[in-house]
Amino acid sequence: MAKGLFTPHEIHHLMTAEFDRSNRFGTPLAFLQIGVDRLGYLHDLYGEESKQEILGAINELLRDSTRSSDLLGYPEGDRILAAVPHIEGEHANFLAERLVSGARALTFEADGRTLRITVSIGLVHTADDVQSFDEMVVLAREAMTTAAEKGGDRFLRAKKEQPDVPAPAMPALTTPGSGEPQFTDVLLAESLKQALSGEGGQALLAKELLSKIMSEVEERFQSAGGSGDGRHEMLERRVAKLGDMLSRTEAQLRSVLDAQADDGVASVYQNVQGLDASESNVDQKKELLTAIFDANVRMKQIIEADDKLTSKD
Amino acid sequence: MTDSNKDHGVLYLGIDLGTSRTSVCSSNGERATLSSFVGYAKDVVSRKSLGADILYGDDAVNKRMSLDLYRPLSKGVIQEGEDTKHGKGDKEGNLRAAADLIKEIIARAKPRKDELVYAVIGAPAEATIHNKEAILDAARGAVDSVMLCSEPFAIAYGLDMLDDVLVIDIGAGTVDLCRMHGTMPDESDQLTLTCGGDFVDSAFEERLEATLEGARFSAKMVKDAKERFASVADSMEPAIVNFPVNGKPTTFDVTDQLREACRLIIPPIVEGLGKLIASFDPEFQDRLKDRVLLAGGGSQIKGLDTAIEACMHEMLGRGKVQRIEEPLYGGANGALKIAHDMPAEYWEQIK
Repeated sequence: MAKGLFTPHEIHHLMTAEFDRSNRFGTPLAFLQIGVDRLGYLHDLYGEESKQEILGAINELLRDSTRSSDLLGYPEGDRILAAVPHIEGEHANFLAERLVSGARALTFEADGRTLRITVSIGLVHTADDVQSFDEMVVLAREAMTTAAEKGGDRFLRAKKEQPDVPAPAMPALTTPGSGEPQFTDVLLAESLKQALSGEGGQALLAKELLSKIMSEVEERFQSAGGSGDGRHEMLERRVAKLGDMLSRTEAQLRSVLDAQADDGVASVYQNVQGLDASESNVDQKKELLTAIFDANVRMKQIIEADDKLTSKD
Repeated sequence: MTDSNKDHGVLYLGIDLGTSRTSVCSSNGERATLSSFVGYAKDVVSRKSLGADILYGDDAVNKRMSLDLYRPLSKGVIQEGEDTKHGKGDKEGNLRAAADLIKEIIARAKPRKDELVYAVIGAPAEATIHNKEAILDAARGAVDSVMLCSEPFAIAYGLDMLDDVLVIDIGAGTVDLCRMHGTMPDESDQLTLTCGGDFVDSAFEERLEATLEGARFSAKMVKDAKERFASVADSMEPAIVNFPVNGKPTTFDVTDQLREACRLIIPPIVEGLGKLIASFDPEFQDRLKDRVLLAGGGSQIKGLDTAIEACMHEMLGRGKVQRIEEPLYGGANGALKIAHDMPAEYWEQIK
């Protein structure tokens, strides 16, 4: 967390620059507004020192939960504003969830009593089709307020009003107030089941996002006069591959869930993201992989021969 | 590493072992990056105060006064020779540090005890057999099967750009240029320049020493300032730093010095690109010029893609440069993709 080096105004300027960079290079960026629930009440009861201690602990929690080199954040009144570059939408959800459960685990001593707190977080991600950094700030503030009004101890990801495209609801990643540990295997399995069910969830959301990206790319291409831009070509190819990978990953994960076993789930990725026979350059890739393997075998043989010579000497 | 109890699948890792940063991407979704520094507690007192025998990355740099500090790679290969400002130079110590660094980065990928770990490590394009052997030895203790591949090749493979592409991989020690034309690049397809991030740091430091009278600063402070503000653009964000003068923090504007230092790497890179283009089939030279990938930590210098493009236009007649999406993870992402794609029988055979 940048602190002391810059004024809040300067950090706001840096966040805006980070948003512009994210926009230009297509890298993801998340923006969070974090508010401590009933902080005014705690302040009235236990004083300014306790309030500052609580805000400091939330600051530290935020720093511990992110790559500190990437994080830009500053306190504004009773809220903390933070921009986290290079984080995918799903990971931003996890980060917000981690912050909510992390805050729940914090304890403070005041007037001989142990205090516990909860937070409300408004989250916006560049994948949510925001046009400017200022819009991100407004959406995050609204989401944070709504989260607090619903009882706090939760995060809400802001969504722009999109009457033409009904947005599927996010799966219930949070279990506010339950006090249960988050993301245990059981919860993860539940989330996966919800996500993969035919009624929407992350799978649909991801598909929708992919199709939006696709149409955005198409639109930009056409507005650029259809010039043979290599970047467009690369993006189009990647979006198509990602879409295909997503479908196959879903199918594989479904079968893992059906089997009620998680043994070697990481290996699933070789099946779904490994070499695909339908790829146009699969033969070329096979040749390249064989060349890498051969080079490694050759190197091993040279090293072994060298070792033998050395041991003879 | 024994695999007697490893019957619960395979974890694939892609590792970018760099002079400045080491990164890992893993098939379980974990990824991590850390500065390529390893520090060993100097004595019992420091061990007790640090609470550990070994520190890694920025932790090691921040506690360097209590540590024997190593940056085990220099110009992309295992460091050997005199002590430098970055760390100690003894070969044994650097080999040990390299092994510990690899073990640590693998641990950060959180492998389970009951799964096999297969890793592809991106090595510098021009590393010698003995350096590759040292890297393999260092990795073998922590993984079940390991292969090396050229770093710029891994970047291009990860982006599925295998034909008629030029890769510029700007690391701390070296800048690797690699020409991809559908087959494995050989020696004639690769060029290694020594004008990497460390070179920019030195040039920046020289300029600061010449212009900031009385200011005291360490190599780390110079590097931090570069990483925060580096740009080659005419109108860049002002680089304002605080360096002590006679113990008092003093603010300096080092924008011009930083811009000058960053711009030094452009001519040698474009000259190197020119050499690789000139020896390519003339029919495809223009296509090559239009497909230049900019990668590595150094590619984060603001405006560098545009500046290289402009220099290519001037020196080579045309040019189109694309900066990769994730400079810190480009190599590791590509290495992971190679690990995924590699047939299972190859992994078994190379064990």
